[in-house]
Amino acid sequence: MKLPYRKSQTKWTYIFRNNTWGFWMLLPSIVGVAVFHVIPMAEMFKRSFANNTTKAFAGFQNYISVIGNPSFQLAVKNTILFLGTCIPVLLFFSLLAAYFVSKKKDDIRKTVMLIPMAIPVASIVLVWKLMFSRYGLLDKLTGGFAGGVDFLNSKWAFGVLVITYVWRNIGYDVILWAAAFNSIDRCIYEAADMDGADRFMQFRYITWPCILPYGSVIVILSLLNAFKAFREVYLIAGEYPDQSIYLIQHLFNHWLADLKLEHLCAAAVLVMIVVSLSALLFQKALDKGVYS
Amino acid sequence: MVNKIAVLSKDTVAAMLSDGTCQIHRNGELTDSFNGGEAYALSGYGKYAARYNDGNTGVYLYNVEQKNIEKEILLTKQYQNVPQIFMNVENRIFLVGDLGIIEIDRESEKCVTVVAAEQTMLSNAAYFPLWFEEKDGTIYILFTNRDQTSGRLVQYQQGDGKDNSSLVSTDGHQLTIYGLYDNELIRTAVSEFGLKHPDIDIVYEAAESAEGAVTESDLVRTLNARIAAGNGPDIFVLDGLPMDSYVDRGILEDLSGMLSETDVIPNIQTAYESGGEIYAVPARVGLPIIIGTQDVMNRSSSLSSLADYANQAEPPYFVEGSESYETVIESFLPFYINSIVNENHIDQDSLRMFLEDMKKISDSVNAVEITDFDSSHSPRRLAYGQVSLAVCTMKGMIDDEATEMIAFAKLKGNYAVYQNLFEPYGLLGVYKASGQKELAIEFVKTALSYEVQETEYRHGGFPVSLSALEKWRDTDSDRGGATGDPDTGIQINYKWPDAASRNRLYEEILSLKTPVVCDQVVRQRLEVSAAAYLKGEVTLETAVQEIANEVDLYLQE
Repeated sequence: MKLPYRKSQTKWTYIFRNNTWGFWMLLPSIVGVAVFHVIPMAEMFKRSFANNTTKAFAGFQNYISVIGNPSFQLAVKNTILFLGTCIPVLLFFSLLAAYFVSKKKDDIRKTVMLIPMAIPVASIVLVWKLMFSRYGLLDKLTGGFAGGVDFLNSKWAFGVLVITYVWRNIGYDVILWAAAFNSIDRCIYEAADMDGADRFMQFRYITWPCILPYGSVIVILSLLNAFKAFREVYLIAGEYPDQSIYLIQHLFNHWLADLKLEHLCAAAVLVMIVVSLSALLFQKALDKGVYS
Repeated sequence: MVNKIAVLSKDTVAAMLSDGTCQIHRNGELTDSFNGGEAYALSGYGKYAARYNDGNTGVYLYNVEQKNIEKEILLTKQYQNVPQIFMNVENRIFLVGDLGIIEIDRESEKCVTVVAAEQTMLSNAAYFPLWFEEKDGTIYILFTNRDQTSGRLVQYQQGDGKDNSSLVSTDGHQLTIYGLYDNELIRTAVSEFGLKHPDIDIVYEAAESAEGAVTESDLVRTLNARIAAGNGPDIFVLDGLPMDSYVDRGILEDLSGMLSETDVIPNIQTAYESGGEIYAVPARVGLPIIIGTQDVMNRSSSLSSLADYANQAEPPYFVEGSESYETVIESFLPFYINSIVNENHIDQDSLRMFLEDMKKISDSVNAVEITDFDSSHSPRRLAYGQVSLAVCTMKGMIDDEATEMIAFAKLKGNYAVYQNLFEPYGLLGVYKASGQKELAIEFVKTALSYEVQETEYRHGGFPVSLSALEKWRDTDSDRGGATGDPDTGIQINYKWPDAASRNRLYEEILSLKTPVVCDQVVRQRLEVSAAAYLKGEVTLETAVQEIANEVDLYLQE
């Protein structure tokens, strides 16, 4: 095969010379990512293997301390439980809503579903406290059954958190799913109609395989958004919430306050590895589903 | 009695009486008088006299010739509590106090700070301004101590913020002190240190007083980010800061060498010693005490036996129905907290005992959910015979409450300091990585020196310097006060403690062993869950488990 560049050039030299302006335009972004992401990450890696006091190399000691820490174990358990509950629930309901919304081509409903995302977090926190606190609306409504319950600081807190997350993020996923549905050519459905396929068969053999590639993106975005739920939890329940909603970010927050930077960095590296691997696995699984 | 005199001219004098009346005397005869606010602030020259108005919200400018208040200049809230007024020969009005030297422009009625107080004698609580003069932008102030046994003449240039600033220039050295809360002793120490080292620029950051202040935990995180970046302050005032974390991480310098050159009370030093090293030392201490009738104090061999007697005490421990669950818990928690919280877990037996004791006491006084009553823990209610117990913290002798506590204890029964506990105030530490470590250590030494320690600070605690404490012990005074119950008409006069009482307190302070260490997070979790138990919302075991789970989680982090 004839190479597009001369033998005296390397592939990258060729690309650079033919896209010089592009590289220069990208440079500010590259510098920004390097300064605000790459360099801090490198520093984080370095600190995770060092003793914060003496700055000496500590091997995997910090990782062992973190993994054996009961608070870390609880936080990880809660975070996994939260992600394992919220993301499937969110994906299911957003897919369902998007299916019906895209059928009707109803832009108003799509817009309405985005409203929760537009509401400031502080306002949501205020309303949630009015609704779910010990003497709040829900407590009054369920007074005969619950007998005065603080839904934000009891075993019910997890449910409140899941509802908060799903309600707030469903609109975003609906938009993404709706875009996926709209990308499917109508002709395929018409052909399927003519062949006698019912709606379920059309969904299973046409819609589902076509939207799967979008699914991996939506899953990853939902996963990243799930970590942002800490903001609502922190504002509603404070620094030390009920144990059922004690998340990994709470622990990071406290370690920073206690200057336990080596533990913070080690835990951050672990979380980063787990989240990256999970995202990759999701992508591979969904892509495999597409091609099969 | 005359509080203050201002000579207006060769034949006119203004005299401020203790009842707040300002009299104008001309050629020895009383010609006029007028009333106003603060009875210690008066100045004047020529035909004008100046004093605070009624309510101390502004300044009266009184015209002696016209015999009327020519002008009332209202002050913004920021400037309303500056203690001293001075007027120069040009009738320009200055307010002088711990905010600095502020000039009031008579035409625009605006206040302008001409000298900031932070690093000057103006923020030294041991001294107050006695005489003032301003000429051509140079200000001279004669400061004197409370006993008027020593004085210092200091010069300021308008716009500068240092004593005798025209005589020195800084060589670029800066010492930073960081604390969450403002501390009067630290300000005094800054002033004293500044006099010894006029070439050093001292910056005292009281984080909570900054404008737009955020939560304490955010302030701690911001500070920790500075420390992580290697930019920590030279000196920490560790009140409210995670001292244990800083010690574990080697942030703090060992002060044991410096302390051996001071006369800090040995038992206070020992309380902070760890492996032969001392990383922090309090600048003052307070004593949590229980005062009660003799009958109650006879049963106070332990806090549990005190709680057991709650139902039988006559009169009751506190005024019935006037205590909230939270205040009952808050009052007694310092006596139990050290036994409840171990290094990384809750001692559930001690916690159980605490909750049971609090339940007995709160039930006996019919504690309520919410109350806006004044706390019945005040020793005054004990003196009036309304209650048989008072729980409070003795924070020094300047405030009448401490004099009252001893007086009422003697009147009604006795007081006790439990388990040699003390509350530390102004806990000082030095940043190990400080570039000015030697100076920082010297500053801490200044804060612990006799000159700074012998000063009385309002609610500031007892001195930790042995010589300052002995001076207080040996000082007699005719200070005293009176209190009265409007409902019953009981009137009680009390005097400065006698030698035996002062000696007893002195011995108590020398016996102190254990600082009350109550982390705010632990306190909050405890109070919320304990209150739920006292209200009957949860059982004892549920409350113990809830508290243990929450606090253990925090401690295990």
